[in-house]
Parts: sequence; C-alpha cells; structure tokens
Amino acid sequence: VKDTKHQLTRLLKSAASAPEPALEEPSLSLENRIIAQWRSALVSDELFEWPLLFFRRAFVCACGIVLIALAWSYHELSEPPPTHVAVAEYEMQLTFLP
Amino acid sequence: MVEPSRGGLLERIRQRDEDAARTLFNELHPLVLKLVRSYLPRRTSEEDLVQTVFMKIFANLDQYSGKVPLEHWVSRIAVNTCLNQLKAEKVRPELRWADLSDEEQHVMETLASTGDDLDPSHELTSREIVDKLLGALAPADRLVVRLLHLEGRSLRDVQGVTGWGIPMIKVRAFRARQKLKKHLERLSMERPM
Repeated sequence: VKDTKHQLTRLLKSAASAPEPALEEPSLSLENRIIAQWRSALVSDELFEWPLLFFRRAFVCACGIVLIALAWSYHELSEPPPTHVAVAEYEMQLTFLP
Repeated sequence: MVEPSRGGLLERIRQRDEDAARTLFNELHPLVLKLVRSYLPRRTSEEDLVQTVFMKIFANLDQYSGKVPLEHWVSRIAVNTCLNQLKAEKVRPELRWADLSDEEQHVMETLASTGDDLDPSHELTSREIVDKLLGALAPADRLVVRLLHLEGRSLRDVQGVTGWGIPMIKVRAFRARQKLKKHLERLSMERPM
C-alpha cells in the first residue's frame, strides 16, 4: 500500500508539472451567441417587469387591507355591545320580576 | 471591494451596454474555458458548457456584491455548473490496463520499477493517466484532487472556489486519494509481468 501511495504521489507530482495547454481566443460565433442570449433574456425580463411589479404592489395592498379589516373586526368584537345588553336586561326584568 | 475599472464595467452591463458585456466576456473567457476544460464531462460540448456558464454569470450579475474578487465568484459559478453537469453522468467507467496507450503503459511500468521522480518528458503522459484515473471518481472527489494536487491551490483557495469547509475539503481529499490508490493498485495488478 505504501508503494502505491508513493507511486500515486509521484504520478500526481509529474502530472502537476505538465504544461497547461494554450487557451485559444473565443470564437466570434460563441461571443455573438452569448450576447444574443443575454439580450433576449433582458427583453423577456422587461416583458415581465411591469406585470410583476404590479402584482407585487397589489399583493402588498391586499395584505394591508386584510390587516386593517382584521384589526377593525377585533376592535368591534372586544367592545361589549351596550344596546344588546340593555335589551337583554330589560327582557330579564320583565320575565322574572312580579 | 470591486476594482474601480471592473465596477464601472459591471455598472455599464447593468445599464444594458452591449460593448461592456462583450468586454467582460473577453476578459473572463480564458478563466471559464480553463475551468470547463478541467472538469469537462464526457460527451458535453465545451462551447455549450462555456455558454451555460456565461449565461449564469450575466443572469446573476446583480447578485454580485463585490465582497470577493470577480474571478472567485465566476470560478464558483463555473465549477458548480460543471459539477451539476458531471452529476448527470451515471456511468464512470473504471480504467483498465488495456485502455492505456503504449506511452501510458510505459510510464506506469517506470513508476512501478523505480522509486525516483518521473522524467520531465513523461509529464504530459502522466497528466493523461491522471485525467483518466480521475474520470472514475465522483465529481466532487475529482474536483478536490484537481484543485489541490494538480493546480497546487491552497485549502483557502479551494474553499473560495467550492464553498466547502476546510475539514470537509481535507476529508474529501483523503478519501479521493484512497480511491485513486485503489484504482492504481488494480491497474498494477492487471499489468502483464
């Protein structure tokens, strides 16, 4: 195992010393393809930008309205309805008192 | 921080300036091509992979904060793209003695018969053997061996490129070397006496 380990170390060392292959210039067709794809992505972004912004704002507004409605309902429920109490008391008096 | 010249270039790209996009492509192309060549999955077109990497770079340019050098950020995108492509490869054929060329077999024999470092004339062949051996490893193992042992990068560099923690890199590198040793042992056993 030690021998294999040594072999691997020497093999990796030799491979690491190998000269890097020269990198050629990018082809114009590749450059044009990438730029064209980038531009088409921008166009589709623009296409969806306004509807997305509109729906995002509409969602925020809707959430705000729901919160206000909830707060108002809670406020209404937490206050005792004085009229109902008064009516109930009056009816009890009529029923139980001689 | 983003270099001032780079910052201006990125800003122009955000303003949809095509010339700026072309300039960035030409500046980054050697780096992306080098990374793609290092990890190129079999049966994948080099240009297609370069194109995919550049589309991800342009699509996510708004998310680049400038906290790390642009090259690190680009390297991470390129490496992750290659790793994802490699994950799609289900078959990783093991290297057999018969798959080696005459020259590669000669280097393997030299490696086994002497304890000295290999001759500089064998460097390219050694690289080819290592590339073939790496082909049998999982993508992440392949990546860590390539970065640490072939490119001679530091653990911090590897962390920057992969986003993995240093202990994880060490463990992965150790396991990858163990697997390479096993492959090398098996190759040696197949070697005709």
